[in-house]
Order: sequence, then structure tokens, then C-alpha cells
Amino acid sequence: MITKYKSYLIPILVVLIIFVSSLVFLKPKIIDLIEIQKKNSEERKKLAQLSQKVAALEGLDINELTAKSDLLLKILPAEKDIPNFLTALKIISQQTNVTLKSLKTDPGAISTVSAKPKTKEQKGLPSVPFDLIVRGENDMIKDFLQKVENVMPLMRIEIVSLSNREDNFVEASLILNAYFQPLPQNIGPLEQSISLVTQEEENTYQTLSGLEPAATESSLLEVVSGRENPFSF
Amino acid sequence: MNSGIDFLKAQKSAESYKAKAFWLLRIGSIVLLIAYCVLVSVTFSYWIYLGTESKNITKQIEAKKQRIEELRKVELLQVMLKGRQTLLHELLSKKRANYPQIITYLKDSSPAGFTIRTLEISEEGEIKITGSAPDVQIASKFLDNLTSPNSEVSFEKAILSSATRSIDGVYTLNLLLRI
Repeated sequence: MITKYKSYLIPILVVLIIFVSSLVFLKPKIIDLIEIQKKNSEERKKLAQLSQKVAALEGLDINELTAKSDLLLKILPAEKDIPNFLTALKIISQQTNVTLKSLKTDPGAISTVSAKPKTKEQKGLPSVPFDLIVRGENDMIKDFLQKVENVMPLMRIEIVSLSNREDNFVEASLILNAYFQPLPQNIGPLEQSISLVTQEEENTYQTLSGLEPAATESSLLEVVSGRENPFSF
Repeated sequence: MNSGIDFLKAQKSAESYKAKAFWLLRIGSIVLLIAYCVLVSVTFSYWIYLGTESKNITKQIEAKKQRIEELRKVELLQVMLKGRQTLLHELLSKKRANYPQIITYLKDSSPAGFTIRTLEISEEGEIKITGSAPDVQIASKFLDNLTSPNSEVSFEKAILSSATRSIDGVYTLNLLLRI
């Protein structure tokens, strides 16, 4: 009987070997292959993104960026630089020969990013509000209104009320916003792609780069801090 | 005559057919085995290739990350600049009232005798005027100047909120305009 089925032995053995090794070796390997392929595909995309980011960063000139950031920090300070804002308004009023009758502000906490500032939060940029009353001739008031919006740091008039006085002088009551923008806390993970400045944003920057500083270094208020030295005469 | 009957002919024919079939089966199974071995080799080789490729990609990713770390300062500056420039562009793109222009225009539109007592201008271009005139013609001339089609500044809205005449004949107008 065994002799009768001897001829079938090789084919049966072959089929058995193929079946068992497929289950034990081939099928898991194919599953593994598919996973590795999928993982490689994702990694390739990640590599492409990183390569793009490296190319974008290498295309930027650090000196140019530093110069731009210096200017933008003057236009838009990183903190609520109240002394600078106050000095700028004082200088502008002197330059335009208007009398600064009153100046009020309610900046809230002089804070860094961690505190919650009590400011009028605009939709985009945070700002410090100022209420001022200035007095002068009509042309001087117009100059003042023109100048206050064309200096560094950036300020914008929200509302102005003018009233003519009997002595031909005009009294202007303004609500003005002086803008600032805290520095970014973090720049995100390494894999995060980088956004470049658009042409319109660059055009806006070129326009702003023509602004004059309202206050020079020497005209900034000197803020005395600390205790008085009891041993000085 | 030597003709015999081959009784084994049918049996021989069947055996021959059977032997051929077995031979084909044997050859087929060997071919199948060889094909299977080739498939396993290809699979194994591809698996090694993918593994090597994966290591290469990981190495390249690490190199890129290292390079980005070296350029972190550039990235910090760029992020800071981009943030500021985007916000500034949004702020400055908004349509706003040109205060000196409006003041000049209203002054130029005021005929002799008309006095603008108070003027309030908001950022969005809302203007409130309180003016006085000694007679109705002067008041009317001011209104005509404002609403003239040839005027330098065109108003989206021009409403005379009130017009009063005081006992001494002075006309007071309250206007609400919008650029």
C-alpha cells in the first residue's frame, strides 16, 4: 500500500512545506513589509518637510533679519513701555507747539507675557490706551494728529473730539492706542514648517520703515529706582 | 500466420498514461517548490532593502533636525518678524479716517459765518458735527457744500440730526456723517 502511494509523496511534501512555511514565515514577513513601507512613506514626507524648512532657513540672511527685528521692535515694542509712550507724546506736542493739557492712561500691570494685561485688547494687537487733551491753533492740532500716527512707537487715534474755543484756539480730546506685541514664548517643535513674509506684509514693512522715532535715547525719561543712598551728601 | 492478440495492450496504455501523469505531477511540484523559493528570496531581499532604506531615511532626518537646531536663532527671528509683520499688515490694511484731511475739508466747506463748535471723528469714519450759523442761508450753504457731488470727500451717510434756532437768531445744526 505504501508503495502504491510512494509516487505521491514528493508532491504532498512540497505542498506541505509551502503551506507551513507560508504561515510561519512568508505571511508575517509580508505584513511586516507593508508596515515598513507605510512607515518609510511617512518618514519620506517628514524628510521632505524638514528639507524644505532647512532650505527656507538657509535662504534667510541673519543680518537682514536682525536689522528688521531691531526696527520692528522700535515700531512695536515687546512690552508696555509706558515711559517711552509718554515721552513720545510729550515730544510730539512740543514739536507741533500744542499744549498738552492732560494725559491719562490705565495700562494695567506692567507685565511680561505671563501676567494678564488690563489693556484694550484689539482683535490683533494689544495696546495701551491714552486719553489726552491738547490745545492749540487749528493747524497745530492737525499737525499733532498727523505726527502722532507717523512716529515710532506705533500709535493710532481711536477717536478725536475738537471744540473751538472763543480765543480761536481748538481743544482736542483724543483716545489714542499705543501698540505693543510681546515676544513669542516658543517657536514650536523642530518639525513645524516656517511661514515666510508675504509681499503685502513686506510692502507694509517698507512703509513703516519710513517712520521717525518720536523720542531719542537722551530724551527718554530717567526712571529712578531703588532706595536713596543714606550716605550720600 | 503469426498474429496474436495483445491482451495487455489496454493495461500497458493505462500504465503509460499513469506514469506520464506521475511524471508531470513530480515536475510540477518541483517547479512549484522552486517558484516558492524564488518568492521567499524576493520577499526576504525586499525586506532587507526596506530596512536599509528606513535606516537611511532616519539618518537623513536626524541630520536635518541637527541643521535646524543650528539655525534656531534664524528661525526665532523669522517667527518674531512674521508675527509682527502679519499683525501690522492687518492693522494698517483697515480703512481708517484721515483726521487732518477731514478737519481741513470741513473747515474749507464752512462758508464765512459758519462756525464748527464741536467735531468728533472716530477711527471708522463716523463724524459728529455741531455747528452754528447766524442765518439759515449760511447753514444751508454748509449743508450744500457737504452734500455736493463735486466735494472732495464723499460721505456714505449724511444725517441732519437736529436744527434749532435760538432766541438770538443763531442756528445750531447737529450733523452725523459717515465716510
